[in-house]
Amino acid sequence: MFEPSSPQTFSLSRPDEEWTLLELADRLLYRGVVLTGEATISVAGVDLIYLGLNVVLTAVETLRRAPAARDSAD
Amino acid sequence: VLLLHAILPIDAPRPPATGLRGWPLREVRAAGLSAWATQCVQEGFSPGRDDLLAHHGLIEQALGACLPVRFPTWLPDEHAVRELLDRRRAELEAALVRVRGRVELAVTITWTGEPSVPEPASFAATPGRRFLEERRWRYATTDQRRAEAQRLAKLLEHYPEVLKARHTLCPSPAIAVSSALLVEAEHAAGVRKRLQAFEEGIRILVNGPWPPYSFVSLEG
Repeated sequence: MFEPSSPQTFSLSRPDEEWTLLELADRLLYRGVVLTGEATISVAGVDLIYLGLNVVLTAVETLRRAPAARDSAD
Repeated sequence: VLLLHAILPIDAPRPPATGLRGWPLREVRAAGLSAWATQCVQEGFSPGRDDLLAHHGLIEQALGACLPVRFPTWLPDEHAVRELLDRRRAELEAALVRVRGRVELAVTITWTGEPSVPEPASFAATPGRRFLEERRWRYATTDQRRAEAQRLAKLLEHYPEVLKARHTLCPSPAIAVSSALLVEAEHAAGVRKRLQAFEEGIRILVNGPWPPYSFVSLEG
């Protein structure tokens, strides 16, 4: 049975590290060679590439909110 | 199930023995190309942040000699990988030539001060006029910042070592420019050092050298 894991949460201590991770995640998730179509398979009718991406994106969104929350508190 | 990491020339360095989560890393060869992929042994594997960074770590081991594959990309088995390499050989080889020996620097320029279009001391008392005055002020501020971001982006392209550049202007209120610069690997450290003294009045953060994620489109 395919069950996605819970999104991970994490924190980084320095703003520069946060930016670095955001820049890197942007590249890993949205750039790079696209081979979709050929590379899409499914388990129990669920498209793996999109399911996996959603999990990662949720984790990235968690990180994105961290600097925003800090800025608004300043 | 295989999770693809990178596509390389067949004479590229050999891959490490293990991929994500300590699982076996497969090197699949076909059509004069090689693909690195983790053999995912856990049913229902769903990637997270650590897997994302491990994928980056693997690609970095072939820095300057590979096409990074967008994460996450799965193929069912080695046969499917060979078929893919065979069918798209020409496109993949051309993309490899375009980035051979080259790396990407990620540049983020952030504003350090407030916009210089001063907010009016007071807006009109009537709602309609007040709305228009506020909007005019906001537009003037946005236009000024965008023009300044454009100027900064052009300055980045003036470095002779910068072979290609991709910019995103004003992606958020705090950021002027987010750029990807393609440079020869041997120039990366020098460019990075010089960028630290880029311009007064802004803050610049340079990351990399990274694999050329932003410059490996198969369309050229």
